[in-house]
Amino acid sequence: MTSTLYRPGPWLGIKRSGAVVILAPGTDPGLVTPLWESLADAPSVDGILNEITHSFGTALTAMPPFGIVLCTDRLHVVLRGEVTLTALHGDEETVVSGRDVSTWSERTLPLPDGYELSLGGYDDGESALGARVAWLPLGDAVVLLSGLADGTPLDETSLDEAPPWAEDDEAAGGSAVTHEGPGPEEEPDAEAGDLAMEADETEADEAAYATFAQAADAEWSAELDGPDEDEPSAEQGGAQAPYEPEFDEPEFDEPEFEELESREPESGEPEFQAPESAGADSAWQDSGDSGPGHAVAPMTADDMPPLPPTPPTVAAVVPDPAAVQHTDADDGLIDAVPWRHTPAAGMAQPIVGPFDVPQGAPVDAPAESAGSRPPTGPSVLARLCPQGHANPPQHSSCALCGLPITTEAQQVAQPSLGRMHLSTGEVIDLDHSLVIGRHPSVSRVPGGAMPRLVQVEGPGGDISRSHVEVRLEGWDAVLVDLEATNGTVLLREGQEPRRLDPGEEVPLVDGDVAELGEGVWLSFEGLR
Amino acid sequence: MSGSPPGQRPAMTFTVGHGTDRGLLREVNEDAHIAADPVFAVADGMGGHEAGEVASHECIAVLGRQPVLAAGNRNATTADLRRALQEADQRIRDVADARAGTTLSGAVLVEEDGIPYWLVFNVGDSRTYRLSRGVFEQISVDHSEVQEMVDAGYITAREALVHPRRNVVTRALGTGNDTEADYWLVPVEHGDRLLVCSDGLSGEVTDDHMHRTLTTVGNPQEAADSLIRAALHSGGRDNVTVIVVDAAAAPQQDPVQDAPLGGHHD
Repeated sequence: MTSTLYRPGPWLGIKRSGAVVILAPGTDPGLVTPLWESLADAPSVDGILNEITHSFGTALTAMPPFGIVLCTDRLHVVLRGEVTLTALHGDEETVVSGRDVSTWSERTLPLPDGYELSLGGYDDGESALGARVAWLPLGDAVVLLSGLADGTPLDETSLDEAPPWAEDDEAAGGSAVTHEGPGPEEEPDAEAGDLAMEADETEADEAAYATFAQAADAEWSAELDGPDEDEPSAEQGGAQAPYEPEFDEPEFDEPEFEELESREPESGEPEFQAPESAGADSAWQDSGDSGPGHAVAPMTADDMPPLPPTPPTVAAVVPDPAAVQHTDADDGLIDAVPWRHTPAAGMAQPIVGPFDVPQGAPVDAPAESAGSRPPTGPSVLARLCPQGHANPPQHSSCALCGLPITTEAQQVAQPSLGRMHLSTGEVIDLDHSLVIGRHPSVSRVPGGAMPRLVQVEGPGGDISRSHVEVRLEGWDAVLVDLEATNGTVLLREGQEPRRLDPGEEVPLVDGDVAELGEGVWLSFEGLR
Repeated sequence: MSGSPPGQRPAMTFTVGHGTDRGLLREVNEDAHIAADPVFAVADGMGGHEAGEVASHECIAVLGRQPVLAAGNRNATTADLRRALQEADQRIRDVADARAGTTLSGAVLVEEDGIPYWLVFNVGDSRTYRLSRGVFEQISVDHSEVQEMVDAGYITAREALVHPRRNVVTRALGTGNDTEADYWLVPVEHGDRLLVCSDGLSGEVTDDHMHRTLTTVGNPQEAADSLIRAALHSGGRDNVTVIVVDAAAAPQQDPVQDAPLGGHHD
């Protein structure tokens, strides 16, 4: 039926219902049956990931490499360790690798013409063997494998004929992929040659996992323990009692420096180079574990000893609903994924950043969102109609021009969600969150999410300094009372006027009017 | 130091005083600062063997050469600052090999619809305060362990002042994987006074003392000097850096329509 091919080897491969799960050699075979069952109908990345992570418990260090590839409307890929996926879109290759990340890489891609999974040599002999073995067809099954190639992502129309590139592969006598150009380590023959390097990387990975796990442990212990307030500790950074860090942020201990600096240089090494307390008191010391060259650096995903900085294309997450949902998974493990801390991505709300946009897709603001802000403002997931109008991803036809939408969802600059008219006559495009008040201000927002401030006159004092916010959350405009002294009254067609509770948030609908007091009102039009 | 272009409100003029001191115990001053309209910021470097000094100075140097922060410019956005801070972060990593980091706190003068605002930013535990209409408040929120304990309700703000972990920063530029700044946007009003300082001040001098000094010492340079002296008197255990910026509606502009203070002058 499908043109999925596999190459025998030591890895465990489970293929069912459009999902492929790869488990490293040596993974507990007991995991296979529950996974197989869980793939029976409509498997989700979250479900599979939960199944895998639960079975490994919370010890990240003990988690072997794995891979999840799920074809739905997009190709969802989750890879950890020596698992690399190469997806082919026309002539373009997209490579996703689980290497060099502390947890796993997650991507969603447009459905490719084909993809190949290369599994790193876990064991020399097996890998060498894998390189010599021909590609074999694979239906829904559990197999031992060293590579997997899929030509058609469950597209019924083309199931009958294997894609030409796959046939070429077979004709070429077992070479995995024939796509021209510098395909990274996909050539099976290259794997054997890479073994020495891979061994190094494995060590590096282990060090990375260990470092990561310390932070993660600290986080978990934070959930279990309160802070050790009554810990006896020396003033001014003397030797500190063992201390369990409470927070997931990397931290560094200034007292350590004070101590060093107040001494002569020759005594400068002990606290830096060797963790003195068993609990690895601070991240500075944590990093001491990972090698003398990184004595000062707190644990990070991107400064593990020999590893290059994690490319954003690997670490970044496409913040589509599935991915967001995934990062919110409640297993405690997820909070610590590196992309939560990369400046580029990972906030629950739309933020600026080099989002992982499908290659070749325009990232520019669509025609209708000619905001006055640079294109670095908040972005949302949208599908563009043929005329370039941004639409919510679930729309199948354009809300503006009615043309059918066939493109993949992508991140675009926040499109205008409508207009806000003020009693002053001013009209403001809703392409940015707004804070309205007598002397509006904004407190403590993470970078990129700064609302625009709209000052209104309120000499009588009925209008608070920051009175009300119009917050754009994806495709919704939400009216938020900012605990204004005299409150905000919402007038909505067909309903009694209603005073918002302090801090209340109400999704706005077209035609809503908000009264702030002293004759100042806001009306919302063009909302969809 | 310079006037802002006239908008729909009276133009503001800004006067700044600033200073830094190595302190009584440190051998090196790892603080750095910039006080050049429109940007006022303090960086407190950390890292052994003078690497902290490199980190804080690199950070300030990156800020200083941002075209959008050129003299008199009021157009900087959060996105601009964010890019600048990312550049600073990378620059520090390049020169210090992640062995050093720096805090950064301060404010950039910006205008929206002709209205001046302080775009306040913070990474780490240096601080930005504002004295406005007699109310003295800390705008920035530290990225520190004790601040998180305070937020979580484990300890009080007073206990945080003497907590043994009070110097542990949870975010910084140049090291660690959490380098994102927080931002605030607060309107600039006539008579406002902004204070930016390193923890060499806030760790030695109480908020009450700062408030009193800022209220009683009219000249911003004298206020900054006085605060530095106070930090040294109370121990001077750390480098101390202070910037004081006064905002005043320019007196000879069009009639003050909306003067919040009715002509209060120090």
